[in-house]
Amino acid sequence: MPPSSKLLLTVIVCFASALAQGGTSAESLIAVQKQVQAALPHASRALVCIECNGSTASGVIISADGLVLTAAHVTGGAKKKVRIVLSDGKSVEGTSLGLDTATDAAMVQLPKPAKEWPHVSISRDLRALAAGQWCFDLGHPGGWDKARGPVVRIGRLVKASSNMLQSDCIMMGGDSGGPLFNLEGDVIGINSQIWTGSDQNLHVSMAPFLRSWEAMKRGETITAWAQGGGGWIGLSTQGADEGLLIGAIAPDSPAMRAGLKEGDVIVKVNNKKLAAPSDFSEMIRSHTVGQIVTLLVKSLQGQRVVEVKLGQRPQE
Amino acid sequence: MALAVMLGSAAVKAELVLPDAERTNGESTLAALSPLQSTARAQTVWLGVSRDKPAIGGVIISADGYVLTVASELRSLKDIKVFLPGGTEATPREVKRDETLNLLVLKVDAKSLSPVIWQPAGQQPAASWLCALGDRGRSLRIGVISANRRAIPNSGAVMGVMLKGHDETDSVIISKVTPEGPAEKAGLTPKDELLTLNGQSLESTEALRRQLGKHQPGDVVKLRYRRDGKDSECEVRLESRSRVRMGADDFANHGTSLRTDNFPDVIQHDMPLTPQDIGTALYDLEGHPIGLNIARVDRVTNYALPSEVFVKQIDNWIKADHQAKK
Repeated sequence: MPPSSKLLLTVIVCFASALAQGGTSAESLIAVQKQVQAALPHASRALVCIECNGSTASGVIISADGLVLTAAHVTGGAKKKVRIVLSDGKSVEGTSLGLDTATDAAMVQLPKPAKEWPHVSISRDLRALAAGQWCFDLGHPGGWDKARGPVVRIGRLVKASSNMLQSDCIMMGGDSGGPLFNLEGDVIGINSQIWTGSDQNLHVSMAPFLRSWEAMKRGETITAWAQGGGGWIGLSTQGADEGLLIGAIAPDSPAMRAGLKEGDVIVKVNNKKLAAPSDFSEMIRSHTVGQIVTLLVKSLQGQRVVEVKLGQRPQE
Repeated sequence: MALAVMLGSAAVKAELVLPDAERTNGESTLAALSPLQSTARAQTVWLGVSRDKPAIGGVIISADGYVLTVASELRSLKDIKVFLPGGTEATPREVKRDETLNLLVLKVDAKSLSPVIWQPAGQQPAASWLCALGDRGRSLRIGVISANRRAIPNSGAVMGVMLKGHDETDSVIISKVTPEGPAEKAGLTPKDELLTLNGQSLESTEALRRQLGKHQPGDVVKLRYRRDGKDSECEVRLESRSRVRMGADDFANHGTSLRTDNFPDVIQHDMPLTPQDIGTALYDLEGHPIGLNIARVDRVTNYALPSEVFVKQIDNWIKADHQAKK
């Protein structure tokens, strides 16, 4: 191991222990800075400026073929021609895809790339988000500006709810649609709105994107959460000592077909312990229809592993 | 995630909001920097009519009472006092006002103060932490270098009006005033005809443009105007065009400086400061003063002049002041 990376490792370990004590040391701030600076060049290259509806906003490229995530209030609708300014100042014409107006999530497609578009990954693990974690935000407030460059802010997550993240990365007009990153440089949110307080900055979480991914790529407009509600399992739970106690099971549901019974306790979902019914439903919703989730279930007969293929939520 | 697991129940997790103290500029996060806060306080003065509501900050640059602050935000020293660390106050004398760098050097009678020892800002990369005193000195604030170091071009000093007619020879009649702009604050309204500026006649829109071109943001100009056949006078404090253009759109700004552009070189950072926190020193996390906070620009942005831009000039101004006194 080269000396420099060893140093970094030591610093990160210090950081972790500082957090455990509930305080922050100067070293831990420097550790955050180093992680952001390591992720920044790659993240900046995937940042774009979106010129649409007479104003400028931001977005982020998340695939080699040029899928851009942004905010619904930026595009305002599907199948629009939008001007995209890339990190190097070159501009190309993109097309707005679908959007979720209930949560302010939208997609834009860039033209076919010569080779591949610079892009970042999105963080699919919504359960890993927690209030207090450090994050950084990018945007082109006021439009692309060569002399200024992209504008970076570092802050902490103030609140992580299922569709929306709040941070104290201070945003302003033109940041809309820009990416919020975790310290690994994966996208965890899309800039959406601000209130007056400097720590009242709201970002769409990845959940609305993940549960409506295909529909949004097809150009659909989602106006209510139910429409893009992700997979359905068809059971209700309540918190119990060892996990989640299954209550009612819907007739003809994936849960019933998989042989789950009222009174069974779900200990793990996809190998993760879940403490709360809302965590469980969030976890299920983050999967699409047809995906399989693996449950570790405990009953009087002992433990068993149950695979459930998620279905479509019935209309009523 | 650790927190969520510890707390364990759904109801609690849904309500879990990071306590104020744990936020980026919360007490607990800043606790590690408290020695720095003491140093910064000892090197900082506040300027204004009262200690409770200072107009702006200033930096102590010599033990015998030279102070550096921002010219555009303190156009007149009338009734202005300098509130020193330790609770004493003094009356300032103007040593040098420099419109190019937007600096104002003052002198107060004092001794044994703790001056800053400027360090070059150099080329620190984006996302490097910095800190400065905020909340009028009550607390330290942290933030990062958020963009490239660069010059900020001049957008000009304006009063925030649109004029009737586009012809340069038209008389100067207001058609619109920018909400919360300088003209509106001075009580001007549409249909007012502007007659003179600082006594100079305004026979045409071109004459107004020429007169304004001689001024800096922050200057107060005296306007004579005609409304419903009656002549009156008012004073308008000019602002940077870029600031006025932002106008009321930026509802969550909490105020900006009067001059927000026309700087040869700035460090841009994202600390949550107010316009009254400008004029203070910008420090790195090791406590080196590397620049002067020169403008609060918008909800996100502050500009600081890197020390290497002004250190030599200030030394020269102080030397000249010493010579003049001999």
